[in-house]
Amino acid sequence: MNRVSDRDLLSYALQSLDPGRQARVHRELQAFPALQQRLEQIRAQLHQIDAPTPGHTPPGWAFPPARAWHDPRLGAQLAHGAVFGDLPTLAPGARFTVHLHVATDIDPAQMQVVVMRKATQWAVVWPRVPVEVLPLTRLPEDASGQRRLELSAGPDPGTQRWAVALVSTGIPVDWNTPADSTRWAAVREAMQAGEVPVLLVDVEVSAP
Amino acid sequence: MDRDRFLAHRAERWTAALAAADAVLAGDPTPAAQLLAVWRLEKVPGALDAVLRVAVQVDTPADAVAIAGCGALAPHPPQPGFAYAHHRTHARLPEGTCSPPPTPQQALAFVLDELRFQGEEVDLLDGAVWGDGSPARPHPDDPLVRALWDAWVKQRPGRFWSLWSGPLGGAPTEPPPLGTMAWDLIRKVVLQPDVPAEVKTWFRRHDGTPEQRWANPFALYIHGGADGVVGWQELAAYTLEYTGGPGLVALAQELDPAGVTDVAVCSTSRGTRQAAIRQLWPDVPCTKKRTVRLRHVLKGRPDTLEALVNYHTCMRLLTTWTDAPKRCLDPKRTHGVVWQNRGRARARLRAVVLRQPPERWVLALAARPGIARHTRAATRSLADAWAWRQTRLAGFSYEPRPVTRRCADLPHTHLPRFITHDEPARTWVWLCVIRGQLSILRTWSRTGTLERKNGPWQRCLNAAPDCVCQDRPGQAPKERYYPLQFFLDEALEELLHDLLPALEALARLPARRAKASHIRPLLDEFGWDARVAKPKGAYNRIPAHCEAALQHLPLPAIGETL
Repeated sequence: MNRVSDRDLLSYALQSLDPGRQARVHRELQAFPALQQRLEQIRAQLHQIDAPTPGHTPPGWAFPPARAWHDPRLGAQLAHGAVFGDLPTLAPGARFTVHLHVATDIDPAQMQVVVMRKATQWAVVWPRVPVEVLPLTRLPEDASGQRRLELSAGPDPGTQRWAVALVSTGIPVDWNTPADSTRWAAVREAMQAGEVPVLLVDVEVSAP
Repeated sequence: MDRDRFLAHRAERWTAALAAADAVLAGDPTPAAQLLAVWRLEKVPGALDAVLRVAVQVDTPADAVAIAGCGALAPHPPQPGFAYAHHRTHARLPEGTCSPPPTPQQALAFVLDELRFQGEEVDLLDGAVWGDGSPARPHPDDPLVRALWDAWVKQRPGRFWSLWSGPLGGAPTEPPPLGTMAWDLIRKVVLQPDVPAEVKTWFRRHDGTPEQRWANPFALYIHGGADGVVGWQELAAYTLEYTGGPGLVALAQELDPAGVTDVAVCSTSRGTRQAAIRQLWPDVPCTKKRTVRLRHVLKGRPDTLEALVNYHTCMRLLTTWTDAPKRCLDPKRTHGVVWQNRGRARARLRAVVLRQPPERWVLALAARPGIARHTRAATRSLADAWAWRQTRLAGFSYEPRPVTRRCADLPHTHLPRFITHDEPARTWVWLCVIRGQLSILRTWSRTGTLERKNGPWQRCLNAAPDCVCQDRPGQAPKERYYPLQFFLDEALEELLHDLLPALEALARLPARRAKASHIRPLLDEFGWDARVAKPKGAYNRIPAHCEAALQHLPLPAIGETL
C-alpha cells in the first residue's frame, strides 16, 4: 500500500509540490517501483500535451481582459453599463461615453489622451497624426471632476476591446515613422515601467 | 533498513513505550514527555497533560498491541529497500492470529509509540525539508521580482504586466516568465485525460492565441476574489511559506497582534479545535478566558503556534482512535489525519495573514534575499492548486475562485482589546504594589471582582492609562478594565517577577529617605512608563509596602503560572 495519488505524482512531475509533500512523495517513489512506473507514464502524458509557449515579450500592445485590470490612477464609468459588470450592448457605430476618474496627483495639463482598440491586434486609433493630439484638458469636465470621452463603436460585432492611456507630454512620439510599433516605442516603454495610467474598456456590439 | 534491524529497532522503541506508559499510569509524565519530545508540546502549557489524559482512554485493540509488541511478527512485505516508516506501516498480523486483550500499560504504550512515530514523520517530512530558517542566498532576479511585488502593492498594473509576462533574466538557463510558467502548468493539469471534457473545452477556447496565453495568468493573479481574497495577495501568502523554516512557522512569524487574536479566537471557537482547547485547560470554564490565555501563550512566539498545531493533531488522532479503536490499525487513515490537519492549519493561517494590510507584510516579504526563487516556487505551487480546484468545480471560468478560503467573520466583539505593549501594564502593576494593593490585585486579576470597595484600590484603578483600557459604547464601568484584567490574569506573575529588582531597591530605602527626591529617580531608573502617573504623596509608606510584597515572593518559576 502506498499513500501517493495520481494527482500527487502529476504535481511531482510538474515540480509544483511544496517541500513537505515533495519529500513524502519522493520517499514513496523510492520504495515502490510500481509508483515509479506510474510516474513515467504521467511524464509521457505530459510530453504529449501540446504546450504552445509564447515568446519572451508580450505581443504588441497586448492587454489582459478589462475586468482583470485596475489602475487606481485612472478609473472609469461607462454611460451604458459598468466596466466591471455586464458588458453594455451597442449597435455598430453607436457612440458611447466613458467618464474618466483621473487621480488627483495627475496634472491634466501635462497629459494627452491616447486611445487604442483591438481588432486582430491592438492599434492606436487616436491620435493618428500630430494635429489630432488630444490634451486631457480638452475633454469636458463635469461638476464631480470626471472627464467625458466620447467613443464610437466599430462595425464588427462581438466584444470590442478599448484602451485609454494618459501619456505624459514629455514622452516623445516619433511621428515620422509610419509603423505603429516604432512610432509609439517610447510610450510602450513608459507603459511597461508603470508610468502610464491605462484604462481598459470592453463593450459588446450587436450584429447589424 | 533490513528486517532484522527493523525488528531490533521496533523492540527497542516498544520497551521505551512500555516504560513511559508504566510511568504515566504511576503519575509520572516525564518519560512520556521525552518520548513525545518531537511534537514540542512543552511550548503549550498543559498540552502534554491533556494528551496523556486522553491517551489513557483509548481502547487500543489487541491486534495493534500484538503488531507493535511482538518481535517475531515480520512486517509485510519485508523489503530491504524500505525505510523504517514503510516497514512499520506494512506490519500485519498473520491470518488467524488471536491476540490476548492488552493490559492498560500495553494499550497506552501502543498509543504513545504511535504518537511518537507520527511526530517523527512530521519532523522528517515537514521540517528541515523547508529549510532551516536561515536567510536564503540572494538570487540575481531578486531586484526584478522585488519590483514586481512593489508594482502589485502600489497597484501599477502596467509595471506588473511587463515583469510578470517578460523574462526576468539573470539565470543561466533563462527560465520562462512567471505568467507563462503558471499558465503552462495549469494547461498541463487541465488537459489530463481524466479531467471533464467541458473543462477542457472551456480551457482550449481561452488558450488559443498568444495574447490569451499572456493575458490569462494575469487575470488569475490580479483579480479581486468574491471571497475577498485577491489573487496576488494569495500568491504572496504562498511565497511567504517558502521563506523560512516549515511553511507553518514562516506564516506564524508574519502574524501581527490582530492576527494572533484571530488565531486564538479561531482556535477556541471553531470546529474540533474548540474541543481540543477545552481539554487543554479544563479549569478555565469560559471561552473568553481561554481565548485570552491562548492569545497570551502565542503572543510573540511564532514557534508556539506550530506546537499548538501539533497538539491539535495529537488530539485529533486520539479522538479518532477513541471513537473507533480499529482505526489505529489503519496507517493510511492515520497518515490522512496528520497531514490533513497540517495542511488545513496552513491554509487557515494563510487566510489569517491575508486579513492583514498587504502593504505592510508583502513589501517586507519582497525585501528578503532569494525572493525570486521563493516567488517562482510559490507561483508553481499556487498554479497547481488553482488548476486542480478549477477542474473539480463545475466549469472553468474567470470568476475569482481563490484557493485559500477567506477567514470567515470571527466572534471578536466579545473579546477585550489586545494589549500590545507590556510596559504600561507593568508600571501600573508596580503602582498597585507600592500602594500596598498586591493581594487585591491578584484577586482582581483572577476574578474581576472584589468583595469590598477599597479607596486606595479604586485610586489605582483610576490611574490605569487609557492604552490598557477600552471604551466601547454602552459598556458597563468594569468592562473598561477588561483588557488589563484579562492580560494580568495571564501575565501578572511574569510582570511581578520582572519588577523584583525595583521592589527590592525601594524596600531597601530607609524610611527617612523615602521622599519624592529619592523615590522618583529610582522609579525612572527601573523603567517607570510615563503613561502611568507617578505616585504623589505618602512616599514614606512605599518601602514598607514593597517589603510586605516581597514577603509574598519569591515567585513561582515562569511557565508554572500559565
